[in-house]
Amino acid sequence: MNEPGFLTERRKRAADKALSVPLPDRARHRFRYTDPAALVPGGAVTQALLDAALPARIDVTLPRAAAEAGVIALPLAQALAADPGRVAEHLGRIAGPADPVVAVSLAAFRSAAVVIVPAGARVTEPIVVRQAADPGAPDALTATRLLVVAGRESEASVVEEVTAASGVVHATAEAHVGDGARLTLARTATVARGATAFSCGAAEVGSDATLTHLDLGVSSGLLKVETSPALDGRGGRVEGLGAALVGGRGRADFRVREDHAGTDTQSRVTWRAVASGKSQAVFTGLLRIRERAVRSEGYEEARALLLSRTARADVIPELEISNHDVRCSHGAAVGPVDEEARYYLMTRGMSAAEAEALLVEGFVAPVLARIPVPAEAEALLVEGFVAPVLARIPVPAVAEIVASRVAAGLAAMRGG
Amino acid sequence: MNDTAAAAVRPEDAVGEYRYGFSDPDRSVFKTPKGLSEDVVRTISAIKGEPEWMLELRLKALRHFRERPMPTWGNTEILNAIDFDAVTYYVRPADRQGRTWDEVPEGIKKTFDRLGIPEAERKFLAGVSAQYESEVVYHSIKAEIERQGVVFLDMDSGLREHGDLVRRHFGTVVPPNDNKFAALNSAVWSGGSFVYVPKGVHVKIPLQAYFRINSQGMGQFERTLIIADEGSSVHYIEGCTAPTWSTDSLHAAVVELIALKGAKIRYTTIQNWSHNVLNLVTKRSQAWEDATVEWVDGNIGSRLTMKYPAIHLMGPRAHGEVLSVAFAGRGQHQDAGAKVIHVAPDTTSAVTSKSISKQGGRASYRGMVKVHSGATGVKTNVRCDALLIDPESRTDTYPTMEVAENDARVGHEASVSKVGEDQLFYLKSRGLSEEEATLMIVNGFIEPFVKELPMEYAVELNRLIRMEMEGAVG
Repeated sequence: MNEPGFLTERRKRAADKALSVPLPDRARHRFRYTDPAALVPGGAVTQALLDAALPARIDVTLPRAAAEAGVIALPLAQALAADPGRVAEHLGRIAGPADPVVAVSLAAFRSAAVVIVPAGARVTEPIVVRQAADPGAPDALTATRLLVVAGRESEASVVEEVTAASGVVHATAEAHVGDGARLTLARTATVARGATAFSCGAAEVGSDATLTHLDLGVSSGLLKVETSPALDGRGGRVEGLGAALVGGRGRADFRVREDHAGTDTQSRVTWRAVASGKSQAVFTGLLRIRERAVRSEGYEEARALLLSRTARADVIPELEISNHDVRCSHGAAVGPVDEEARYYLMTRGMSAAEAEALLVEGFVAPVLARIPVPAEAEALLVEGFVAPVLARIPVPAVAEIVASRVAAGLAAMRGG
Repeated sequence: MNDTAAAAVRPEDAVGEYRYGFSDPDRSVFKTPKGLSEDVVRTISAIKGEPEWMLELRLKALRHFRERPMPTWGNTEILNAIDFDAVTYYVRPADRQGRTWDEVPEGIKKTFDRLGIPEAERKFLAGVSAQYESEVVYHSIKAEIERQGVVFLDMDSGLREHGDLVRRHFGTVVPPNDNKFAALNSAVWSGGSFVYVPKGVHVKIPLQAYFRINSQGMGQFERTLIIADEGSSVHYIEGCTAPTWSTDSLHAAVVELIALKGAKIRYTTIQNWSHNVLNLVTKRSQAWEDATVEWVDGNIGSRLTMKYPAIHLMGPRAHGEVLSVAFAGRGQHQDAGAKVIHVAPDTTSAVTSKSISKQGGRASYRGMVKVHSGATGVKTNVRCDALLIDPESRTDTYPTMEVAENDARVGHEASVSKVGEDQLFYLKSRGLSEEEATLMIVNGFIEPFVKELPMEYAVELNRLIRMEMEGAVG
């Protein structure tokens, strides 16, 4: 591939990092439940060095209105021709260079898409990027990348759908949210049994900018999701959403790190997991308020619902606060009642009494494996449980796509 | 050396802000050489005239200590700087134990005076097991408790007088290879308390022990084992304060609690080590069928505390509670928390943690709630609140929840806040100074903890908080 010098240089540095820095310690919560070596099998690093990672099939859908507003959404090679300056400024800078695990995909990626929203452009219809990866052999690596640049005062939403059918798949997204911009970035990862996926998202959020990031993981394989927005500017806001639907012997291990470095910033994380079969759902969240980040507000809420006696959930919502001028809290629950779920059931045509009865049966004593609950009622319960995540997606068209993925994931989970 | 040497200097002149920071001249009769070796361990065991099995346990623990790496979490900077060769592992202050107040050496009584234990309160106490340096020197038990068949001894006497009981339980809750500091304690332990409460006996008055470190660069490795037999109950109180020294003092205690069927143990600690002490303690308990264990844990002093009182709920319907307060001031890191492991069905637990950070201090909550497969019908709730007094201070919350049963109800809530400006404004408008108002808010914040303490401890804690808050505002 004939790549520009900046990219060759960044890849080379990433490869050095991947080879020279030891993998992170499992004593840290980030990898307490998933061995980092499972995400970067020995063969994969060699592959990265030999420049032989496998490409994914990329499919980019740019709505007409967005194209007319000047938005670029292209595979990397064409994007480099269309806007070389902006690609060079951001690609491989936001996600990858500092971390030995993330660096592997920066060194190795063979397929990438770029979305550039010009300053001031406002598009409501989502830009959709699909990346289908099927590396084949268990330790074969496919690495994909998505770069989203939202110019100053722009408004856009991007949906990235990644499927991992086999092997090891690294899907990395990096986003630059310019001052005053509003970006919704919804990422879904579907991982087949036997496949391993590492879905990594990094973002920088400018002054008075708003980022809504959503990660939906549907996994019967091994899925590790990491999302780390940095609130660098003054007055930045992040809405962090996540949902894991995990079944069979699968695992979905989410890490969300909201890093407040600028002043007057806000973040709110809402996470739900539903685990069935012998699966495992994991959430380790970190809300970090740096020393100078005065007037920060942070909220983190993580809940898990276990549908079988053999499923498990591990939840660690962490706070690291180095400044007293803050308002931070978090809540976590496994097997909870949720008022929003009750409301959801009622919007689906149940009477208040029916919803209440179902909640008592299903949530107050969520023994779904033992108390027979009709399949439709269970489906409603689970949908109701995930509903608070969907309800917080600000763009209806994005919410629609995510809801359909949730429905498909739940159907698959119940089917096997 | 003479006793008047220390009295000639007013302690507050000698050590400045730390109120309890005086020290008597070193009057120890015997000390092992600095550093840790098999010889040191054999010497400690020989001096105590221990049975062979205890020597073997110590030597095995020493091997575990050497093999185990230092923890890679918590305050690794301080942990990695510990020089184990600069520590004296055993110091004996007197040749025999005082049984009555009159027999207690004058210098040690003086120490208690300076700790501010009033005369009336001493008489009120059920028994005082005061650890002066590495050995219990004074131990008195109220006749009433002895009549009930309660055993309340220092650990060394417990081993001599109740060898079989000790052998059956020692190291079963905290095995010698549990972690590096538990291994260290198991190798060189000295002193601590041994308590056995017979079936159906309710000990009405709390059993109390005061601890004190008194030698520069000297370690304290006390070992406490409390067994509450079926249907019994006991409240044990551990409070400690230590003089200020220029080099770090290492404190690595192990406390094991066993609450058998239907028994109840409450273990209360007010930790006020001077600000050079590293307090690296393993506290763990087992609660069997229908039993209750409660840890009430206050951390005010020390430079670094790493302590996570644990409850293993082993029998059906067992209940565990941890209620803790941490106060981190200048140069302090309180890394405290709680662990609750639900092994049996229908077990319940609650953890409430409050922390206050000021003048650059750091308070961390590190906790674990685990629901094992098979532990159905579990209910547990964790609540952590942190109060930050000023911009330099730091607070962290690291709660881990691992749930392997789908009908478990596991809840966690945490909040971080500062002293509210509206609260301050209101109190100041009522004529309070900013300092008084802040103190009032802090007292309100830790009130759920204080109200669980016996009155004399509540008074002492309030006094400590007032002292700690001096100069924190403005």
